Amino acid sequence: MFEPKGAPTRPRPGHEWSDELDDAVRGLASGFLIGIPVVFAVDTWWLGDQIGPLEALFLLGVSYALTLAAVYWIGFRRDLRRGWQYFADALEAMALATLALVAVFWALGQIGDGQPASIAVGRIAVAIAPVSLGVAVANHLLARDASRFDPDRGDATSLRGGWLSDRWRRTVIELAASIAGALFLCIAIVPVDDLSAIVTEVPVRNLPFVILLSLLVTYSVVFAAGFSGEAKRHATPGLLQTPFAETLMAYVAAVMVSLVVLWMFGRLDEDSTLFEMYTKSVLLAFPASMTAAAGRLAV
Amino acid sequence: MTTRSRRAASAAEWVTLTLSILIVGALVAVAVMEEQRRQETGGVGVRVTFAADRAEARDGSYYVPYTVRNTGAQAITSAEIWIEVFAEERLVESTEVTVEFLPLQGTQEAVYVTTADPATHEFAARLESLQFP
Repeated sequence: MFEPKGAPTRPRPGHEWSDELDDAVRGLASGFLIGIPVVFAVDTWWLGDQIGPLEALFLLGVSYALTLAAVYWIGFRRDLRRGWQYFADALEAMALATLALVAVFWALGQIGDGQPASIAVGRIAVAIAPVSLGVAVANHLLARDASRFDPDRGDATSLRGGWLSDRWRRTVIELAASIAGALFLCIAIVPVDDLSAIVTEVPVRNLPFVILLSLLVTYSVVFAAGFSGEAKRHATPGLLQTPFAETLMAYVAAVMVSLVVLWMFGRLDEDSTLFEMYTKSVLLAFPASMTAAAGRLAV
Repeated sequence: MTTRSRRAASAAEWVTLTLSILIVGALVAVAVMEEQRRQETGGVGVRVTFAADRAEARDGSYYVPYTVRNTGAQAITSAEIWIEVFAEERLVESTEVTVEFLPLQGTQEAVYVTTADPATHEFAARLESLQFP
């Protein structure tokens, strides 16, 4: 394999482990962003229940081939790869996707809660392709250290909200981006009413885990993954600009957007109980918080 | 202009690769074992188990929990089952229930509501038909 002259190479002396962790977390975050609409669909779960082990193995093989192609052309590591490393990277993308799916399905009570192993394998096999492809295209999805608050001159984002102080402007833009990202997903999921089936399938005792995983993934996407302008993000002054506060703010925004969209499409109304509002909004905010995080990266 | 790059993988990369092989290998191994178990099991089957000892009496009715388990070698899309209640070997009640989506070894828990006291009646299930994906 040939690399362009001057391409960055690894290992960076003294950064081998942090680079490895950074690549893995970036890949995971990208996998969540791409894969969550498929993972958060009850038909995916039911299809996973119905396939046999041989079909699961076939799907795993196809997913590996697709991931290998994506890794070759795009990848999730900071340097160019060669030879067997493409095969190893595709395997790592599959492993990261497996871990992501185990975390999501476990939080939703869909594996490891008395279900047999065949269900876990089936559900993972059906959902693994979009997640592993998401891992494999991490470098392309969100360019490393591209700037978010250092826009080009004439960039629309840089021209918005000029009447606000710099401190407020950044907070307002981030909040708006979070709402837009969450809205983007909610208006795609709520009309098809998968949520009613998901609410039925997910045990109530698992909802705290769903909230925790939502916060953890959102935090990883924005702050820990080395995506767009991470260094600037950590140093950005302004209201709610600490990593924890911003993650929490985005999550609350996702919950509020979920409630509004559920009400807009008649999935919640004046007869709905407080508990129904809680369960539906927490579950819908799970994928919505991830797209909210993606929205913040886009500004 | 291109140039050939030669460098060794770092220890961190080897560790990551090893863990990845273990994770994906475990996934494949479970699928292979499930396939072997499926071939050994053979045929189709559903088992219905009543938990009369956990029945609850409420508003003149008895709520009897029961579990439907797929014991066969194939996932089931839909199972039609007759639940029959006997009093001293005399059939006093029968109801058809439909259970959807029973994966391999999958279970579905449900409650049968009846006016027949589980302490004095026998509960049985009879499989009528199965549908497969």
